[in-house]
Amino acid sequence: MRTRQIGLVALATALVLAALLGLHAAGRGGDHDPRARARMLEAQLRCPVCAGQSVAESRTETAAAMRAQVEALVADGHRDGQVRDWFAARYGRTILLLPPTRGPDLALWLTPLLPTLVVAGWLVRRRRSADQRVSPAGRGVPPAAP
Amino acid sequence: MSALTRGVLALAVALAGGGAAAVTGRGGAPAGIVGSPAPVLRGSDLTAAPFDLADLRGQVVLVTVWASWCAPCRQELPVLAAAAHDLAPRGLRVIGIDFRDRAGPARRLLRASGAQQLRCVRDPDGRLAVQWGVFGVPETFLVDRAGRVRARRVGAVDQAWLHTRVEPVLTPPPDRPHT
Repeated sequence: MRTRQIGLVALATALVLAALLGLHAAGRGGDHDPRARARMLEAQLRCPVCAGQSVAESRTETAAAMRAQVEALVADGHRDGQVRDWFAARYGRTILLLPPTRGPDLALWLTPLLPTLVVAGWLVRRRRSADQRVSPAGRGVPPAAP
Repeated sequence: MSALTRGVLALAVALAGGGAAAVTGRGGAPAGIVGSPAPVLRGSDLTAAPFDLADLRGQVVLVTVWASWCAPCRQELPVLAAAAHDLAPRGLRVIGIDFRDRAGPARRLLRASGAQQLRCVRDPDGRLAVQWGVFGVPETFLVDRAGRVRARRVGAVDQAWLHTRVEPVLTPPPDRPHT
């Protein structure tokens, strides 16, 4: 029973960590092709005059101008984070579709850990209660001879 | 309540607080560039002459982003042309950014609007306007004598905005003679 609980907790933790690492990798990029990097960054910027569209998706003139600026910044050697910061400085942080992995936004990334911790805590408490019910005074004492 | 439960609850409260701050933008960067130094505005105007906003330091400048394909801009240009004329003695300059436009239609609209004196910087790919954090056209920024962005107008400029936001930072008008 105990081995099964530990396994469940380990599996849940692994799933959450994998999801976090995946999201973090999506935010960082990692593609070295400038055009691919620009496309990835454009998909991470919110079109400021559209409803729920990224700069990559929008057909507005503003989004087209922002795409031109992303390409210019990438061509100038700016890193992904620097490009996002450049737009956040001019449009506010709400221009970012993916929250940064620092400051108050870090909480958004860590929140998925919370259910895992709650379940893990509940399982540990349950295990302790079960252990206490199994005659703690008699544990480890050999039965008396008849 | 066990120490473990208390720990989980404390973490939950901390995450909820941080998440709320992140979502609401508390503590984050201000939306837009109002209060910041004016971005670089350098390029060539509709006559292909070089232009640099830095050369106007010490004057109050209205930077208006417009395009010939923008309907509200057609209503706004005569207002801005009149302001450029009437408020020039009090230190106002009006500069346009011709956003993702072609020079021919832009010049024709300026003439039709009586705004041919308005100096406009060409911005065919829109990158100059994005430097200013522009959402769309028309959009106008007030740059003070120190070169900082003091106000922003999203949409067409009107007389009320000029009166309440621009005139207070200009040189006071000369006293009118008493009658």
